[in-house]
Amino acid sequence: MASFVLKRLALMIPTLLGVSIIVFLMLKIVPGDPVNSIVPPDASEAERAAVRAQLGLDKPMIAQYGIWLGRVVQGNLGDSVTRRLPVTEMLLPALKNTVILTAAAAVTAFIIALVVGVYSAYYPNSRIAALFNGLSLASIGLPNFWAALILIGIFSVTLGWLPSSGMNTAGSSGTGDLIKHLVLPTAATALSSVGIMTRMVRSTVSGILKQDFIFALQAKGVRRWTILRHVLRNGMPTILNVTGLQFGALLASSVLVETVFSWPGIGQVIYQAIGQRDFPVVQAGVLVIAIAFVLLNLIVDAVHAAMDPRVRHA
Amino acid sequence: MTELLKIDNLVTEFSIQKKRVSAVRGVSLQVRKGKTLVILGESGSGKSVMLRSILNLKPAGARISGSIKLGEEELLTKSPKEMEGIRGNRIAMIFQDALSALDPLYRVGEQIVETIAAHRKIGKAEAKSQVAELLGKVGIPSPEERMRAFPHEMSGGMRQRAVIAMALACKPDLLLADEPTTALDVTIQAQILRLFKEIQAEYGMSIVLVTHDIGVAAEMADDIAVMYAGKIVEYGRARQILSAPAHPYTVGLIEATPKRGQKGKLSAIPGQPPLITAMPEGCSFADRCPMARSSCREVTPAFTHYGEAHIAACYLLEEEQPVAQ
Ligand SMILES: Nc1ncnc2c1ncn2[C@@H]1O[C@H](COP(=O)(O)OP(=O)(O)O)[C@@H](O)[C@H]1O
Ligand SMILES: [Mg+2]
Repeated sequence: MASFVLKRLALMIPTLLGVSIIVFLMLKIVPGDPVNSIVPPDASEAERAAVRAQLGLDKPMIAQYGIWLGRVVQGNLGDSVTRRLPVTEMLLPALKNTVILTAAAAVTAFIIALVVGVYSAYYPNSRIAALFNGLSLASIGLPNFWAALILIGIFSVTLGWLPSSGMNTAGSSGTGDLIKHLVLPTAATALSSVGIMTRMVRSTVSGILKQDFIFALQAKGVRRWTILRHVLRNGMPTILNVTGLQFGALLASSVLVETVFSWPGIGQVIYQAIGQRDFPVVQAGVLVIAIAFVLLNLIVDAVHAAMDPRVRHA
Repeated sequence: MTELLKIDNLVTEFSIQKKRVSAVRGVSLQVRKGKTLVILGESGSGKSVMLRSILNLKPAGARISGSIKLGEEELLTKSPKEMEGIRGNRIAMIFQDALSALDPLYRVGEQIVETIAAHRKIGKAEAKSQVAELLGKVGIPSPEERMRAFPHEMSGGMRQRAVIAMALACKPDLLLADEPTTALDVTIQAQILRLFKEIQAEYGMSIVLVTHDIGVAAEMADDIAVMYAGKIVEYGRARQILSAPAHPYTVGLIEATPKRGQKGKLSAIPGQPPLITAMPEGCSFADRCPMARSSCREVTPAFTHYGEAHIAACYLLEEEQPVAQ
């Protein structure tokens, strides 16, 4: 198992290098001179050149990349242009908030998809399965920010049950308050993934139910719950795998949903930074998300291997 | 009473594209106590469906009718809960492919413990020692170690032995074995068949063995039922059927088998069995039968008795060798 993880870690390095190159180039490609956002508009050419040299922008591209990567590896992602703060100081608390939202959405989507998917696989011709099937199709087509607005309209504006913005009511910091604030963003984020994951759980489980060993289990006279346990155990590697991949989609939708709900996460930070042309922040934000993505895949693969002896021994 | 299992007019229907089709079309059989009944027939003749029907195992939408009596008890009217108590306990089943009949993610020992736990109140430690004993009995070396293996870590022969051990776990009265040696090579096949005989001698159980291999039938059978297109066409004592087959289909099957030491090409029965979605009128073998005449395609032949324990369903026999009941 340890060697499996080490192997996968080694395989991550090229991926991460690729990601870093793309993120680095991203800034080089956007139009506009980053020096403009630092120096006053009336600065002289000499002043501009000084700033450029200070930022290392006068060096060849490869050298710039090398310097930048060297800093990134040491955890130095540069300073925010607008707030004059190290980027990490802005991003880390935001990252935590994004993780809270994404994890809540993932757990919610996972539980709903599991229950509904297993039920629909067991009773494919039932009316309830047909209803869920329609709902999941509809949810896949519904954009998250649109869902977010509908949810706010119903539960905040009309019914007044739940808050529509922020993480905490001013002056309060209880968990209950946090959870209240979490409900709507979680629902909006999870929505499209729930549909996809439900369909995936259903097809995985109905595939397993057709396998010979299920018949053999019935022939042994074990109880239905024992059979369900075997079904889940066999479906779990695939289900977790797809959930892990959906994590990426969830992360992406939480970034969008954050801006609607003013959730102080990384999405909101990036969104504001784009508006202010604060490129180091955008760059670092994208890099952090990309690394989170790659790490997630590693975790998913490791869990898969831990759960399936055939993969582990291969 | 010498019969353990008595099947009467068993019909198993599936619905295929909203139409009802029968894979088993009125089978009547008896399984004698402590004896082996071999069900013989080409692939697609309904042997597996029939065997599963005995345990009332069927896909959604399928319907089983007729009568299946285990001793005095009618199985077809039992509740799902009651059937759970019979499956694996009083009637156990062994499948053709041991690899796909085992859950790949559970250790072999766990899967046997699970069978015992479903039917007996028993502690973990005791169940484990029973499993080790069973594995030893079916000829698996160092059973204590092998019970911790996953199915894919065992050879095909060992896996089939483990599955047999699982079937024996609750000392069933009846063992249903669906082509248990077809997936194995010849030497292993002989070992497994010998194992069946040994456990039958020890436990005194009845066995229903499904095969398409006359050699296996000759080796194992006390009784033989020849199945074709969902029906029994010939049924009786093995010795009589093998030495003096009555039905043209049985004759064809036996002729298609190479005799010991005899080389040369097989005279396989030409043609294909009919599809269950398109069953012909009359005798379903008529289209492939070298002796068929027009009357065969009109009305299905009834059984002709051939001595006390040998029947066959063919018009030819009615005329040529009528035997008084
Ligand atoms: N679940 C099912 N649904 C529809 N038809 C089936 C099903 N299972 C088996 N059959 C059909 O029943 C017939 C008998 O199959 P089977 O009992 O497996 O034959 P055998 O075991 O003798 O080779 C075949 O034509 C097969 O296609
Ligand atoms: Mg079969």
